[in-house]
Amino acid sequence: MSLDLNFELPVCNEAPFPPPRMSNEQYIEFVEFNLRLARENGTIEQLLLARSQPVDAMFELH
Amino acid sequence: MCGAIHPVFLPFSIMVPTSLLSHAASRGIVAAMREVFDLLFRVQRRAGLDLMVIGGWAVQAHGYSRNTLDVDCMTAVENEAALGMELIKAGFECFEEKPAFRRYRHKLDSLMLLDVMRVNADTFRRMWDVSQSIDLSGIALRIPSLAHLIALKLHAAQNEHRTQKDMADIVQLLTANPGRIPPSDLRQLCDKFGTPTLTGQLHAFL
Repeated sequence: MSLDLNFELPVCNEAPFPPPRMSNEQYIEFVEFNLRLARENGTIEQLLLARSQPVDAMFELH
Repeated sequence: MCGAIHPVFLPFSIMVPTSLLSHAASRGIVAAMREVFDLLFRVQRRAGLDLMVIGGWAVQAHGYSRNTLDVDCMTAVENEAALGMELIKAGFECFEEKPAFRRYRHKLDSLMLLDVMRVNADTFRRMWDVSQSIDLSGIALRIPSLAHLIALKLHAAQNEHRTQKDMADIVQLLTANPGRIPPSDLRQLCDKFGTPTLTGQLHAFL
């Protein structure tokens, strides 16, 4: 399929919305949730597959 | 302004699920996130409004995992008022606005945050036509194609406040998806949505 880029996006030059603030416990809970989702939707596997060869070699067990 | 999409005041108590009222104080961020995803799903079903998840969650679905602390979605500007009404019915309020975005939070749970980006109907349709389905914690939603997500990121990176974060996302997306965006397509994306400086930062992929 050819790439359809025939569209316009709105311009916004303002600073983005600030990130939400949360407690340390909430943040840890959130990170764990994020990791679980990454496992479920295959993101972690995809990241490992995309890992560069030098990094692979560095962590290879002999 | 945000208030423009509040034409009818509905008593708050009849719009918020009782389960949410009873658990709001003790729930954590995970429940809040899932509630927002579920809400987006229900809004699409009930009101027939097409939405796409963008931002960090779409980036993660395309293979680069980073911790994103809110939920971003995109809608056609023609549907924005209807979406706003649905969010208000669900207990949200719009509390910040920018030229292309509105930020909503739940009145009972400030961790339930949703940023809504509006684009014109033609743009939304073109992106929707090649969008992809994802499963977010058991909830089926749609995200832009990888090329269109990179287009959004390149466009956003022109804003100096966002350049570093969005260019890092693009580099990681291209790294996590080798060969999926051919150099010729990336060149087109850069020509249309980037700048020479931003294009230069992607030279390794061109």
